[in-house]
Amino acid sequence: MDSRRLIFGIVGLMALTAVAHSAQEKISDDHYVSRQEHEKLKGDYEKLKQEMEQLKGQMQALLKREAPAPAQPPAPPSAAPSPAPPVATQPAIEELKKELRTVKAQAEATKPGSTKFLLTGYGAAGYADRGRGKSSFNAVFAPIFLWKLGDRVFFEGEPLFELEEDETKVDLEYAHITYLLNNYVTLGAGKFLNPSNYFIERLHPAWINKLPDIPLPFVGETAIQAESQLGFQLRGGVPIGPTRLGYAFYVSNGPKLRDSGEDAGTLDFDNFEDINNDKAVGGRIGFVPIPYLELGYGFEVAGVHGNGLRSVDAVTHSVDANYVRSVGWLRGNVDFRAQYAWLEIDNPGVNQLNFKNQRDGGYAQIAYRPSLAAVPILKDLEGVFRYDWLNLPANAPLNADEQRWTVGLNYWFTPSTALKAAYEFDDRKGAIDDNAFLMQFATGF
Amino acid sequence: MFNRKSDWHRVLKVGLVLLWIGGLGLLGGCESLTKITAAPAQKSGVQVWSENCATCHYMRPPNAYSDAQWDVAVHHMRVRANLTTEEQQAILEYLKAAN
Ligand code: HEC
Repeated sequence: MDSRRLIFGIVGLMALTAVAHSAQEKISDDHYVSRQEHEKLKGDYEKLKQEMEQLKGQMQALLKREAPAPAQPPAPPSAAPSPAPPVATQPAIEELKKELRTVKAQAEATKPGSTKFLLTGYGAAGYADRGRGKSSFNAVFAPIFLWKLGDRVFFEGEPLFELEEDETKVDLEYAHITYLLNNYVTLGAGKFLNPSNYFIERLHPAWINKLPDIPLPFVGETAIQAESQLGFQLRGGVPIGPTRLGYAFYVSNGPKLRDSGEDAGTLDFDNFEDINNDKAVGGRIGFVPIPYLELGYGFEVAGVHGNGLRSVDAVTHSVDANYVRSVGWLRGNVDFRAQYAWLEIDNPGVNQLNFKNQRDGGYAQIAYRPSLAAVPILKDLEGVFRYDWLNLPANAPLNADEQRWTVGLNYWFTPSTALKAAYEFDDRKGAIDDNAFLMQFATGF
Repeated sequence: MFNRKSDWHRVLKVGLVLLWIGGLGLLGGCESLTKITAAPAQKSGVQVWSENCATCHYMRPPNAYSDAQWDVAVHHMRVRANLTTEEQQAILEYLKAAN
């Protein structure tokens, strides 16, 4: 308990120092001018330069005519009144001034203000035919709103609309404001994707995920790691020689422990009105020893309790490995991912929760796309294989361990639009297997 | 061969541990670790882009967005992918020159 307070204290102090430090740095506003406008201004400038040169020539010629005796010694500066500009150049100068004014006005008019907005996001339409359920179509729509306010402040917001049974479910995926403290540290606050969960933070959107569904440890009520966090985070990256290190640490509301019913012992991550003062502390460091390879370790320590129960510790760890690269001799792109997570929740010793509450799960996936092949249609085809699994506590109400083997074939229309088809071989301990045929058409826009 | 689930798990866990050890070995063996420098300074914009923008998703071509749109998208990605200001700027310069 006390050590957790200490951690909060240190994190808080770090954040404050960083804010204070960065407030002293000068914020340079970037006033954006498009390429076209830039070219036009450059043209105008060149024209002006030419005219100046011409004028200079004319002036010199005039001066030469007015002072034809080069041998004469120059008069002392104080004695001679400075010669008035020759009458012939006057209108030219006036014209130049006029043009300058127009160019200045044009430059002013192209100043777009310092806030920039981008509406992006993704949508997907799917079909699932599961052995144990009915076959069904589904659809999601996730617009993403991005605002860049100057160089340092950035806001990202994403509502997620999903059809579920007879209803349209709306979720706030994230609403996250970030502030760049310096080159290497960004402060973020709000609801953000869980930084300790590589798959969720970086791979889950339908146009990125290479299969139509999400690996077992990250979905549903038996999930091991949360999808999002509500709190604040410090994150960034540091190049170390030819390698690089990325990090993100957060403090958040943390999950609730479900203490009764079918899902007793699982974590409820949608804990938006924190029922206690036990926050969660977590993070992930990702290390890139050579380009294209990233190895990560994530963790979370949280005090959790159900209604009216004493708080117990829930500790999560995860490791991940990612290698993505276009390989010449394989004539294509290789995409390898693996993540393994394990969670242990202390036993609060009450009836429904009186069991060893440990769960673990993960996935390993490899995809290959012959993107360097000579045949056009082959270039856009991609094969995927994934193995995922989830082990649940033997004495929990929900305890059917599960593993799946999924093979998939994708066709990429654009770098962010794909048609995916997959078959999933399912194996559940003590329950009926749920093989499935899945299809999804997804696009990121 | 891998009909038992625990075999699969062992292979995966050992594999991940080996990858970590291998990665740390690479770091340790690196002479240039002594001089901690910002590497992107020596890298071209297109290289910084191709090394950092294809690791999560396929890359959209530079002409997919205008300069102003890239400003926003690359800031978004800089935060998500934990990039530095130098890397963000090198990538932006390349995208704006190539779109
Ligand atoms: C760490 C993984 C990761 C890396 C590295 C990455 N992206 Fe992304 N990118 C994403 C995710 C995830 C999304 C989808 C955003 C969402 O759904 O929240 C995305 C979305 C995008 C989009 C759509 C617009 C937007 O901002 O959402 C563009 C364009 C894009 N990325 C370009 C890039 C570029 C350029 C780079 C290199 C600087 C890059 N990405 C590096 C994960 C990554």
